[in-house]
Amino acid sequence: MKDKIGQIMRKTYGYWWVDGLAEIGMGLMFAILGGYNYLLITLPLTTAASIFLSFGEPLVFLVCWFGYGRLARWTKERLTYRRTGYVAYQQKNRKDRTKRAIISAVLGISMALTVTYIGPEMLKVNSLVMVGGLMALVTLFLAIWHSVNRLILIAAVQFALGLWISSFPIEPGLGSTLLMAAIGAVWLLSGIIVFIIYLVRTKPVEEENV
Amino acid sequence: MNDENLHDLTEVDRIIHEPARLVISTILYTVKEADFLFLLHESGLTKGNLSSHLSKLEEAGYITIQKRFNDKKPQTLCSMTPLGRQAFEEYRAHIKKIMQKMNGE
Repeated sequence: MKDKIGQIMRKTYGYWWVDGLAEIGMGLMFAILGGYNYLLITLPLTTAASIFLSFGEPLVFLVCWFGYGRLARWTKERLTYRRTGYVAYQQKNRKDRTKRAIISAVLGISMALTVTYIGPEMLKVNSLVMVGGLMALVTLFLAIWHSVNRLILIAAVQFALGLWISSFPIEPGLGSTLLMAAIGAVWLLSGIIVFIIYLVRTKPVEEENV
Repeated sequence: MNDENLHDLTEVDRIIHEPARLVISTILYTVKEADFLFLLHESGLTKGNLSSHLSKLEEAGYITIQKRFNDKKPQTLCSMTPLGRQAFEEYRAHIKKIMQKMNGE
């Protein structure tokens, strides 16, 4: 019984992924971040533009993250909610927000310490594996928490991409750009497939007939 | 199952315990609000069945039902009340206790 309730809760959270739009959004976000990263490594370090771009990276990430949520909701309102129903999720309470902030801080500090204390030679080889692995872990967590099995496959592909691209004889900067683009492409491809299937299987409902 | 467990079972909130209403309650407990169409898709119930179970939950004061027009189309919005949330949490705790007793924990 307890498991059944948990299952229904996870399935309800999983509705966010039902139409593939969330994955398309993730794909676009990684494409933008990859493009930004490419600009960073191709512009000469001395130029003002490069400095400006370096400082702007966290800002771009934040804009992408919030933009992703808003764009996904905007699209869902016009498409998904008319086909399979509307749902608004609970706002996180203060306790949950604090817990999330602590976990993020611990993860961020761990990553920063790892990057600082691992030798540059080792980092050159392993940073992409680390990024791929971290992305895979986050995706795996989402797959389990939201009960969306296809995300397990995406997690595995992300980890494999990190391993594969790290073996390329290229600069780490270019490697991370390539990894972001590849991860973005995987999310985008998955999203487009799911989106097409969703459109074929559902149609807009005109009347509720309660 | 001994007498004590049986007694515990009789004390379970029957409004929530009914399988279809348990599904609806779980969904509404998880979200802030959901419309009739979403509940219909997620619960797998018929329109009439869902309507009747929603009415029972509303009568118990566990959920609120609001009707509105969204883009000139009628929309029925359901959300769980604080009383409903409390009842659901108590129900879960109750069931957990019974399961633990039955498993001899």
